[in-house]
Amino acid sequence: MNIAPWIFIVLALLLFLVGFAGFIKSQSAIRMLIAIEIMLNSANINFAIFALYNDTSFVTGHVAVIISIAIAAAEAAVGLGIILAINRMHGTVEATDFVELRG
Amino acid sequence: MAYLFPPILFETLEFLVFLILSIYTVVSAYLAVSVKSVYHAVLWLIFCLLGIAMIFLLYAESALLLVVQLIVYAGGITVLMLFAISLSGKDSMFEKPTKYKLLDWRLSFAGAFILFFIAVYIILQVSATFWIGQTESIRPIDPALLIESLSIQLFTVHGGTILILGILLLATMLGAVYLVKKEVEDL
Repeated sequence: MNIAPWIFIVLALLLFLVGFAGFIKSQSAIRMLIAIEIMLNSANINFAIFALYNDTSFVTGHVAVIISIAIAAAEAAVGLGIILAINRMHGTVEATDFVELRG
Repeated sequence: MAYLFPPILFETLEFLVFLILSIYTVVSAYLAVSVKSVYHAVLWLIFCLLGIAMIFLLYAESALLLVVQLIVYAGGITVLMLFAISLSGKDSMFEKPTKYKLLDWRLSFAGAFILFFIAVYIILQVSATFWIGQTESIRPIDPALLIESLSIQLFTVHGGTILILGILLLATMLGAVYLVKKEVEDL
C-alpha cells in the first residue's frame, strides 16, 4: 500500500476526538461507554498500522492490539455491571444523577 | 509491458477506497455518539467497528485482527451493551433534556475539532522530520509467515502478559457476577 503512515494518525486522531467529544457531551453512562470504545479503537489503529513500520519484530503491534481488545472487553463487562447495579439502586442510568459521592 | 490502464489510475482508485473507508468510519463514530436513541447508537457503533476491522485487513494486512475485532467487539461487546440497555429500563433509551449543563454539545465538538487541527499541524511537522522517505512498509508481505510469527511471539516473548490477561479476565468475571447479583439477606 502506498498510503503514507501519517494519514492513519490523522484518522485515528479524528476518531479519538469524536469519541472524546461524545464522552464530554453525553449524560447517559451507556453512551459514555460507547464513546470510550471508539477512543480505544482509535488507539488500536495506530498500534496495528505502525507494526508495519517496525523492523525489529514485526508483530509486536498486533500483540498489543490483541491485549488491548481483551482489556476493552473486560472493561465493558465491569462497566455494564456497575451500570446495572446502580440502575437497580437508583432507577436511572444518567451519569449526572449519580451524586452520591458529592457530599 | 503495456498496461490496459495507466498505473496512476490504480493509485487514485486505491486512495479513493481509503477515503471512502475513513469517511464511513468517522461518520459512523460521529453518529454513534450523537443520535437520540441508545439502540441506534449501538448499531452505529457496530458499523464503526466494522470499518476499523476493514482498516485492519486492508492496511495493517492482518486478517487475524479482523476476525478478533469482529468476534470480540462487533459480536461480543455490542451485544452486551444491547442487553444492558434492555435490562436498565425504558428511561435509558432516550436522552433526557439536560439538567446540569456542563458543556453544550456544539461547544464540545467545536473544541474537539480545534484540537484536531492543532494536532494535525504538529503531526505534519513531526512527519516532515521523521518519516520523510518512508512510504513503503518494511515487512515482507506473507500472511502465513505473519500468523506463524505472531503465534510464536504470543506464547514465548509475551507469555507472561497472556497469563496476567487470563487472571484479569477471571477477576473481571467474578467482579461482574458480584456486582449484578441480587442482595441476599442471609449473607
